[in-house]
Formats: sequence, structure tokens, C-alpha cells
Amino acid sequence: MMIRYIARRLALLVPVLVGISIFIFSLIHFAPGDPIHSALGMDYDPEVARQMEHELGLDKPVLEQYFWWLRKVLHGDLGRSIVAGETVQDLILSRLPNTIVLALGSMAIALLIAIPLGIISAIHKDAIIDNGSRVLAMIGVSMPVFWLGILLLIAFSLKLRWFPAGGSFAEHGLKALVLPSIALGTSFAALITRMVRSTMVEVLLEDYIRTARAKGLRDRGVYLRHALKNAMIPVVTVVGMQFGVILGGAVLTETIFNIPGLGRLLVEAVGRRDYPLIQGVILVTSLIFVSANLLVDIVYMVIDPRIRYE
Amino acid sequence: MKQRVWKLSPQQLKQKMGLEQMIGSRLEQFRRFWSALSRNYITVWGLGIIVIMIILAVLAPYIAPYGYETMILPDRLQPPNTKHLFGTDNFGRDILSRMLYGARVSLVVGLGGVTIAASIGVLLGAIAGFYGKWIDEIIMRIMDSILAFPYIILAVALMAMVGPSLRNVILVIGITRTPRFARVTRGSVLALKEMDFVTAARALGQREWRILARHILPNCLTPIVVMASLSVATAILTESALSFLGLGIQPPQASWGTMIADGRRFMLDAPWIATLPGIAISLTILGYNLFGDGLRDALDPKLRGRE
Repeated sequence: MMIRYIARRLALLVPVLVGISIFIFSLIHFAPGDPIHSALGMDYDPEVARQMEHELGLDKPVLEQYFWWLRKVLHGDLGRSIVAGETVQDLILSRLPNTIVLALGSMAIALLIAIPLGIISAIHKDAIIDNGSRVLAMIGVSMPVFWLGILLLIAFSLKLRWFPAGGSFAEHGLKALVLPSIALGTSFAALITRMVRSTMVEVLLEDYIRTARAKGLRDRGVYLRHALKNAMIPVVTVVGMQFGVILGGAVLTETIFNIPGLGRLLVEAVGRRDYPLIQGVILVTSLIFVSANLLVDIVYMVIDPRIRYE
Repeated sequence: MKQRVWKLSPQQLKQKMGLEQMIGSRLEQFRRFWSALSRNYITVWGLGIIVIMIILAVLAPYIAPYGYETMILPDRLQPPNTKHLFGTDNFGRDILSRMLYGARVSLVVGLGGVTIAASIGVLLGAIAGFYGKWIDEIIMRIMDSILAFPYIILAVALMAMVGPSLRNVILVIGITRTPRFARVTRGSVLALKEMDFVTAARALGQREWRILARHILPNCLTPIVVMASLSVATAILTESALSFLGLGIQPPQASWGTMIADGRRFMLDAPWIATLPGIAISLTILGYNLFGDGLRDALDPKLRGRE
């Protein structure tokens, strides 16, 4: 049954992947101006331009170009950066680890704050701590990640000098991860806090919780052994969906903290109209996002047996 | 000339009373809705913030002490003082004036982007939900393809295609928000099309498109309105992010995101340049989020039943 469910999800993924590929392929064709002239500048050698056109496949009919490009992508060939000259996959592989570390770091910080806070809020519903955490969560969701990053940079890096102002994690170690993760994880934490609180409140009203209390189980056992497990099921889905938001937020966070990640690579590529690189980065990030969603669906199915029988 | 009631035919009288009853019932519905909404003081605060921001944006040309591109070089990098209430930036431009004009950009982007997204998304979602089968599959797979991209990354990629400008920012935000409206509308239409009033309309011989437009869509408004309110917040956030990255509003036009980007270089010496626009963005988005949440609670019949 699990294999059938996974197979069905993979089958539904195929048209989505086709749509993604068509959009990414279209980027280079619907962009304003000629990408070759944009890359080579005003005084270009026509022979070099012709060669570049051939390398990018722009001398073929559009439909043929699409399949030619798709065949290359399926063989792992994402082309060559017009500006840097290196292969796109090399550039992406050198930057990808920083983005993954940043995304995971921010999710970890967010969950470490959000889950306990959400549980406490639900247990003490409508008390000061609940109202306070709801207000904080609302404020957290409303703050732009790039602005929060700048504030953290000013306070903790430039003034107090507790953390480095930016750079890669390989260079500065885990200390360089703290501020970017807090900036990126704050709105995620706010959302998860609200979600955990909301689902815990609903679960705590269920009959089986009343039964557990009637049987003499202490509060801690009720909350952690019975309520939390069921309250976390929808939270897992939200975590997966928010992974895409985190990847998007990484674009801004990496720019502020000068982290050499995929997000910053994309912004640099857009600024230089390096279309093969833009295509490669967007393809990789959307594949990561789609895979994360698929993984979440599978995990959801494992932890909620009702899904298997739908 | 207005006809006296006693001069109306029985049919005309019936029509007039029916219209008045309809207006009366709509007013009663609005009164109940407003009562549910205003009971939540946080929602009222949210609405208050939105109204204040809109007023400031609309009146910006009249209340701003300076133009958004007026440079007074001797007043460069001044902290907040009596002459420049929010200080000045590195070009001697008044921060308060630029923030007021930036509010206009946010208002236009928020409303424009959401209008485009709602117009296209509601239409596509309604068609997909109502007609079903292959139409539904094609439309929703296209929507899923758009949703497969992380939101900001999709917006950045689209801006790379179309080039930075206010018009293109509105267009890109409209395109990226469309799938959410489509999904919400499709869900509502799927639920409503099986109801008795739709069957009755069909039995009366009404055409399909008329049933969709006159009977089903008006009953889908609740989730669409909630989505619209929350989407305005996302639109403003996206515009400020794109402008921050240099892909949105271009100088010298004032945008909160551009102001934060300009203020990055002066974080130690003049932190007000980056800090104050950020407070404006946060407050505005907070207002829309508070209002959107309250609207959802007020319009949710399950929650209203509990009160």
C-alpha cells in the first residue's frame, strides 16, 4: 500500500516536472534583449557569438532546442556559465552545501523555539504567556527577513562583535551560522508556534485526552505521550511546505551575510544576465523543493495511518 | 418620475418588496459580520493600521515635507531632528518623505498584484472546479508547476525575464499569487457545485456559465476575500524584497525595500536609514495579517457557532 501511494505521488509529479522544465527553458527565450549580446557586450566577435549560440543551442528551432536542452539536463549537463566560464554544475555544487546548512540550521533553531513555545501556549491558553507568544508570533511573521538580518548584524556583529559579519561556514565555523539562521528561522518559528498551539488546543479537547486524565495519568504524560504526537502530524506538512519559503528566504539572507550559497549565486547571475546559470540554479532549487514535499508526504503517510487507506 | 407604491402593478410591487427584502437581508448579514469582526479587538487594530497606511499613502504628495528625490546635500546623513523628523540619507533626502512615497508604491503593488492574481486565479479555479475532467487536470497541473518553485526564487527569475520596473513587479506578483487563488476557488466550487441550489438552477434550464457566475461564485467569496487580505501582505513583502535585491523599483523612485538596501552601507553611522523603513514594512504587514486572520475567524461559520 505504501509503495502504491509513493508510485501514485511520483506519477503525479511527472506533469509538474515537465511544467518546471518548460518554464526554465523559456527563461532564456523570453528574456528581454539577446542573451548573447548581453553577455559579450557591444564590440563582440561574430565568430565567438556564433559559437556561443551553437553551445547554447540557440541556432536550432525552438522545439528542437527544448528537447536538446532536456536531454543535456537529464545527462547532468547544465551548460557553462557565460560570465564565469565554469560549468554550471561545478558552480552549483560548490555553493549548495552552504545553502543546505543554512536552511537546516534555521529550521533547527525555529523548531527548538517553536515547539516548546507552542505547547506551553496551548496548555496555558488565554493566559499572559499565550497572548504574549501569539503577539510575538504575529510580529515574527510580519518582519521582513532581510531587515531582521540587518538589525541582527548591527546589534550582534558590528556593535557587540559576538558573531562574524558574514562569510562561509567553512571559513568561520558554526558561529557564522547563528545570526543568518536566526534571521531566516524567525518567521518560520512564528508560523510553527501558531500551528503547534492551534493543533494542541484542538487535540487537548479530544475525548481520549479526557480518558487519559480520568485514568490518573499526570499532565506531563498526557501532553507528551498522547497530545503532542497527534498535534505534530499537521505540523510535519507545514514544515515541508515552508522548506520552499526557507529556500527563497535564503536568497535574501545570503545576500546580507555574504554567504556564498545558491541564493546569492542566483542574484549575481540575474545581475549579469548569465542565463545558463540562472536556469541551473532555479532547476536545482525547484527539484530540492519538490523532493522535500514528496518526502514530507511520505513521512506524513508513515506517521498517520489513516492516509494509507485513502 | 418615481412611481407611488399604490400605482404599482402586483408584479411590480412583488419585485420591489423582494428587492427591499434582499437589501434588508444583505444589510443584516453585513451587520452580523461586522459584529463578529469588531468583537476581536486585535482585528480592529489590524484594520486601523491598514486604514492609517492607506490614508498616509494617498495623502503623501500633500503631507510629505519634501519630494522623494529632493536632495539637500548639506543635510546628508543627519539623525532625526526637528528639520528632518526621520533624518536624512547619504544624498540628503528626507527619510520621512521617502517613506510616505514608499507607502504609495506598497499600496499600488499590493492592490494591483492581488487584483491581477485574484482575477486570473478565481477564473481559472472556477473553470477547473466546475467543468472538471481534463480542463481541471490541465489547469491545476499548470498551477502546481508554478507552486513547485520557491516563491521568492520564482519572483527573482521572472524579474530577470521582464526587467525591473513598478509595472513588472505588479505583474510578477500577480502571476506568482495566481495559483493560490485558483486552488482556493476550485476547492469552494467543487464543494458548492453538488448542492441543491445548483441542481435546481440546472432544472430551471439555466446555462452552465450563468450558474457558475451568478450562483456559485458569489458563494465562494469568503475564502477568496481572506486570501486577498493575506496576499496583500505577501505582495508588499515580495516587492520590498525584490527592491532590496535591486530587481524591483528602481531609484530614484522611493520604495521601502530600496531604502533598506541603500541603508546597508551606513548601518553603523546612520542606522535610521535602514531601520525606519523596516518598521514601516513590518507594521503594514502586521496590519494585513491581523485583519486577515480576524476576517477568517469572523467568516468561518464553525467558529461563529461556538460564540
